[in-house]
Amino acid sequence: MIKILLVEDDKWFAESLVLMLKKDFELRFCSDPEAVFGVVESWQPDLLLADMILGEKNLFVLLNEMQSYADTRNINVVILTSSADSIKLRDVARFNVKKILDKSTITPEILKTVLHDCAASSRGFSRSNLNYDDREYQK
Amino acid sequence: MNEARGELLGGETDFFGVDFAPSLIAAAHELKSPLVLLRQLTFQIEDDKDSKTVRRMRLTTERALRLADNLTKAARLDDAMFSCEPIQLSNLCAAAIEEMQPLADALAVKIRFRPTRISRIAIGNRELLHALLVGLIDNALHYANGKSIEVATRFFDNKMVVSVSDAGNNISLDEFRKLKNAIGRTNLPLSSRPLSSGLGLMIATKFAAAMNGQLSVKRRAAGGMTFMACLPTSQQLSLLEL
Repeated sequence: MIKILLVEDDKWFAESLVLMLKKDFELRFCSDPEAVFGVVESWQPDLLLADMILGEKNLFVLLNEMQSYADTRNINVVILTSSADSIKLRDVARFNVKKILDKSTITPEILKTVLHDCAASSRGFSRSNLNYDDREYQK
Repeated sequence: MNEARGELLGGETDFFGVDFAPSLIAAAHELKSPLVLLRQLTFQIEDDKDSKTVRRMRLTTERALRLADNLTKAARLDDAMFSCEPIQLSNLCAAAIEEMQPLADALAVKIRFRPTRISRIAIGNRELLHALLVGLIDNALHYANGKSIEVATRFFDNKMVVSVSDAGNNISLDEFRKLKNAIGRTNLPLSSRPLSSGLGLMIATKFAAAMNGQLSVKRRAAGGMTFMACLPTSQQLSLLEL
């Protein structure tokens, strides 16, 4: 089953998402972006589903950090936010963000389809590189 | 207009010397969060007996979310974030009608669409125009009194006009004159339309103006009102159509 790490500071919203998605995906939930790295290392998700504003913190600090490491840089990211109109995909594509979804209009069907598509492209690439040494990968 | 109030939207403020626009954007965002959660929670309720209630809850939160979104857009108009482009109005109208169809179904109101036979390309901002149209349709649906509403486009006086008509309660000539004078400048609640503070209309006028267009209103003899957004047309593309 596709493994998705959900990063969301609104616990009720997160619980609702888990209920919506648990039949189709294997899910873990983190509300603190600083705890994400630990979960990524131990659990190795196929996809990150994250809100943009995480309390006082910002998702992009985390995503920038993820780009620094071989085992996290290729994990695909889907942003689920209520401020979707304030960012453009081309501006965040360098963080491996594949899709920006609007919380206020998304439906369960569309969300599941997008997650399936984005996780599928992540799986084919990231798993095959997790065992490579960083220097080997950069050749 | 009361000068102490100043102009609330569009970045112009002299509301006690405070720039209100950023606060408005922040307030709209704060308003969106609980509404987004409420909408999300409706997906959890799966009991068939409550499906009608659930649908109404979702449609109502979506209405409120649209207003919060529009407040944010209106407060950002002066930031010049909304550029204009050629737009095929019929396609835009069809998309707006499709978006509002669930609400129309829930209110048992038909949306009729009457596109113009003379096709011209309008110049506008897709996001603002979509929001303007959806807002007008939303308003019309709630004052349709169970009858149908009509969305129409036409080419008139070298402009593309998109209109939304409802067959709601008749408003008095006096109220109508006040509305025409106040449109876009201040909120004006109408006694015959008690659910409306006029805020949506004010925002729609600002959106139209941001696209070098204009919002106007006509009182229908048979009852109800027609709101019209007039937009400039593309002169370059019109040459190709000759």
